[in-house]
Amino acid sequence: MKHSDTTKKKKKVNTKIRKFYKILALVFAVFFLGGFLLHVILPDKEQSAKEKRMLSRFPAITAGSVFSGHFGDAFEKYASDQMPFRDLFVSLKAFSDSLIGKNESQGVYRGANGFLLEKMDEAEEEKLGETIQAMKAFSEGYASNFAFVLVPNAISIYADKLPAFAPTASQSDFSASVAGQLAGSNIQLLDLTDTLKAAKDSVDPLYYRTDHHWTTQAAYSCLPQVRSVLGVDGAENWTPMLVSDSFVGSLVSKSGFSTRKTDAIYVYKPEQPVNYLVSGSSREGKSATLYSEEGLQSGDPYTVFLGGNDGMLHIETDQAGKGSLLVFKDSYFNCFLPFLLSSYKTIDVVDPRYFCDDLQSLLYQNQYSNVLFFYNMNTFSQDTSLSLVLGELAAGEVTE
Amino acid sequence: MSKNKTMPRKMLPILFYVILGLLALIFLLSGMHRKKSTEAAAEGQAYITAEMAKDPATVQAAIQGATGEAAPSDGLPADGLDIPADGTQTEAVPAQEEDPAVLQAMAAPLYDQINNLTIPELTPEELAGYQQKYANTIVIGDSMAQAVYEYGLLDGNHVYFERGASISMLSEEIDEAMTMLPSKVIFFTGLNDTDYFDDPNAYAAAYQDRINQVLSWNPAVEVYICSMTPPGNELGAARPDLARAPEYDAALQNLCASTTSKYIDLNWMVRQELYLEDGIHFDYSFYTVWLQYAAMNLHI
Repeated sequence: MKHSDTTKKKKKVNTKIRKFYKILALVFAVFFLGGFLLHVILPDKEQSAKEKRMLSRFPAITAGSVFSGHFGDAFEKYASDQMPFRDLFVSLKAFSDSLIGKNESQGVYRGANGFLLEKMDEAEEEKLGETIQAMKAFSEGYASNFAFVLVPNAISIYADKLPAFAPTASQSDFSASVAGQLAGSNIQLLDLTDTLKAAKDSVDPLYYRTDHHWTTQAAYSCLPQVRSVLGVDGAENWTPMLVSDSFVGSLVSKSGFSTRKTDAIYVYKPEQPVNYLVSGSSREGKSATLYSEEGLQSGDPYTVFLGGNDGMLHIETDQAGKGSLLVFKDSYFNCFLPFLLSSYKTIDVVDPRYFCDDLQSLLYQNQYSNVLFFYNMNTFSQDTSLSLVLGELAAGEVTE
Repeated sequence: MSKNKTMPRKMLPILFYVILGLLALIFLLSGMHRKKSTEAAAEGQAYITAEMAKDPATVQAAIQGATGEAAPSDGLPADGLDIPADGTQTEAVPAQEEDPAVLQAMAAPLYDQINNLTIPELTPEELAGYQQKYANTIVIGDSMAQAVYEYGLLDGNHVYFERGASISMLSEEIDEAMTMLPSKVIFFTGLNDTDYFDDPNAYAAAYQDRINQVLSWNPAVEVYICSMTPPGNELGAARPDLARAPEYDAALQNLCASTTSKYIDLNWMVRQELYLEDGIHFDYSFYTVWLQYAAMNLHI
């Protein structure tokens, strides 16, 4: 009697456990198969609005790429970039990491008071050398005033906010290396580190706590130095206008670290407005403003400046008798550009990452009074697109 | 012993469901974290809205005023601007008389190039120079216009086309083109319309409709119409419908004679050697001459 009772009980437990195992197996299968199926069925995304970057696409299969291993590498990137619910899993990982006290995720440090700072990677010396060589060659073959504005990142200016002993490459070493390689050329280098360090107490914040960009306030505080290196003057008396106080930047989605505090985006309104028209390679028609309301309301409100990154922008202002400017830039320049409108008659802005027009033709058509390279150190240390765009120029000249 | 073994086993499902529930919770929360701006940003947002509302055409006029650049219709004396307010331009306007002799003298080197079929390629500098001349000019049309873009003579911001289209199908392209605020517009269309229209006069009327659409954007825009070039001899012999092209071309000439639109005669450039294999389109060298000759017609 007693014996059969326990067997019954055991059987009952066994069926329960079995049922659970079945559910467990089912959930497991759903996760794996479902994840795979969703990956196949869901259309691949071109870019991640949260991380503000282009995502990898399915790589081309060729015998060469398969045997060299390129295909495998590219496929791995593709699979991780296009994974369904990627954002969710990134935050899940960061959450579990933070439980065990990790304060670095995907190259982002969680600093004092939840301030997020992007890590600086060591520059690849060879690529950096190529880029600087291309810049120098350009400056020697084209008559204009060349300037290079290099903006440090939060890890330099807000080093005190970094977690203790956080390993990161030194931006002052990087800047010194760039300066060394540019020595003797006719490109005037302006490193804004000292300017921003000096502004640190009076201008707050200089960088967004959730995003990798500098703030418009920081850009404004550097305006006198940039104007002086360009040798231009321009409009004074600007009023900061708050356009968003709910900005959650790319570092949050990149790292997965959660944040309770959001950022504020300001645009600066000049007392004396300038009339100007903007056209761009990926824009329809001409517009009378650099700002984008659509961008402000999008998932990436920083695109209120220029509406994002266009390969090529052409700006025509009413500043008769003033010069013309050609800029090679990354997105740090986007919030700076409005400050230069009063200083030039025409401004052409090239973002080499997205540029696919003919630079040589642009140079034939215009005699620019200034050529400006404008980069943040982090991007410039890893950039390969500028040397490509400038390299085509050199190749074109050789074949002539 | 058995108790110790079964307890964690019993706990297993509970633990599992708790984890599953947590996952679902995080999933739900992750979709909810977008916040809205507070009222503090209202003034700034109104500034952005006001910026967006600025009218490009008004701003262009202000820029031209400030920089003393010629008004959109440079090349014309100021009194050549009396265009009816409704922009229909149906009456002949006694605009400045073009002196054909001046154009002929300018184009003399081009005539030689075509007659001798020795058409030099434009150097990159020359091409860039022409691209600058065409900065405020837009080309609209079918595959005839497309070639201007495909041959790399002008960029995509200066050429708007729909392959295989009739002139009456180009309204979208016109609206898109006019947002670039051009001061001059060139229409360049080909043989498609011998298909769409039996009557050359109906064709010319349809052309005038599209010209009116251009002028409704800006009545000061100068409109130029290129010839409808004939088919190559071989194709013309096989296709009598296409061989009627000169009738349609004559209708365009009449249209231009009776309105302010100006006709760009391309018939002198047509040589059998310059046709592509299809007997409809032309090769790169034809278009380099076109680029230069049209610029002379436009006074740019």
